[in-house]
Amino acid sequence: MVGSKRNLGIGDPDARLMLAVKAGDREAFVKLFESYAPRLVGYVDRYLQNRAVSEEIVQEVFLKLYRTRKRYTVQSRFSTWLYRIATNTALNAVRRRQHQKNREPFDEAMVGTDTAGQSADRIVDGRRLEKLIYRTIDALPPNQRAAFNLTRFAGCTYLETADVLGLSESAIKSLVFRAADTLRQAIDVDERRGASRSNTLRLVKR
Amino acid sequence: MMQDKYTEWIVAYLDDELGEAERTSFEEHLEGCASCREQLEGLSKTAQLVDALPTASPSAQFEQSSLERFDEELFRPSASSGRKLGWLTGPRLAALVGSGIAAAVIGVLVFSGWPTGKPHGEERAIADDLELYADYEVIVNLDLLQAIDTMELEGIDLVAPQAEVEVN
Repeated sequence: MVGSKRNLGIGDPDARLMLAVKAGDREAFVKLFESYAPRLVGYVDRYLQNRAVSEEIVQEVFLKLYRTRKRYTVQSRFSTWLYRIATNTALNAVRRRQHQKNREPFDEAMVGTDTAGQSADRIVDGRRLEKLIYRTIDALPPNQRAAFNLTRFAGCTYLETADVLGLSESAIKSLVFRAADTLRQAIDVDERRGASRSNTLRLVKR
Repeated sequence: MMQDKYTEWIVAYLDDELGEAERTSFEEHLEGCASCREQLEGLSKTAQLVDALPTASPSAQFEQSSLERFDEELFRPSASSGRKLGWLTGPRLAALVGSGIAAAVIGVLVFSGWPTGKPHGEERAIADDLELYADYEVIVNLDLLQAIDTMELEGIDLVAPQAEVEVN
């Protein structure tokens, strides 16, 4: 979501398309879907780490977008409206999944996609680190997680993130910092454990 | 308290999200604060690791299957109403006509006038709402209803937020 500091929807071509959708225009709806759906799958996948489920969630987002089209007003950028629906839908899906305790296995297809030329140890370390990062993000409180994912993975500015979540910019600064700091600490602990594991292995091999 | 403020600015500084005055103030603080410099280094490394994570791309069939789903659920309401009235054929239809119900319905329509064209204005809005609520009754969409309910219960408004007026 690339945007200016001003978040008014006036002059936003996607807001104009959304107004056409509001009047029931299927072609405008399809244009918005084609334009946003691919990156939205990437964004939603940060919450669910499963491509098939993320694709279904993105479909739900667009179904909601159409069904609530009458409530859209051109007072902010279209992407703000879309990411708000997407964030709520993704967080609800996470909550439902946690509630049902039937979490799907980590999508291995997503991990280590560019491993050519790396040693086996580095690949294993890289995958472990990715899993650690995802697990840590999973465990963040919803508001920290949403602020972090929007700024890090959806390319939102802090002002846009504030608009999406209905918070102030200073609140976003604080939420993003706390999320990043939690990750930093988790990575630090993991590195210390990794160093300790390596030392233990070295001692065992002697 | 001041230290907390500067600590919370570290990621915003890395993300280039501090205003000019904040940035200058933060950089001056950084020169004399080893703790913030250390955190800056750690958070910079964290940001690099997170930014390097692979991003999921949609599958090859995603677009096509999505458009088919949208057509089915959003743009072909007649298909579902056709299914709903599918039982009203053959012997059942004959029985209904025979029972006199159809005659009564026809009588009411003749008396009040046959509806023509699509509803407009307020009628149109009501019709659209009815269409929306009719969808909610479909079991397959219960999750959608629950999600919207949850959002409303939690005070998360679906209406696009008001634009913030910049003070500066």
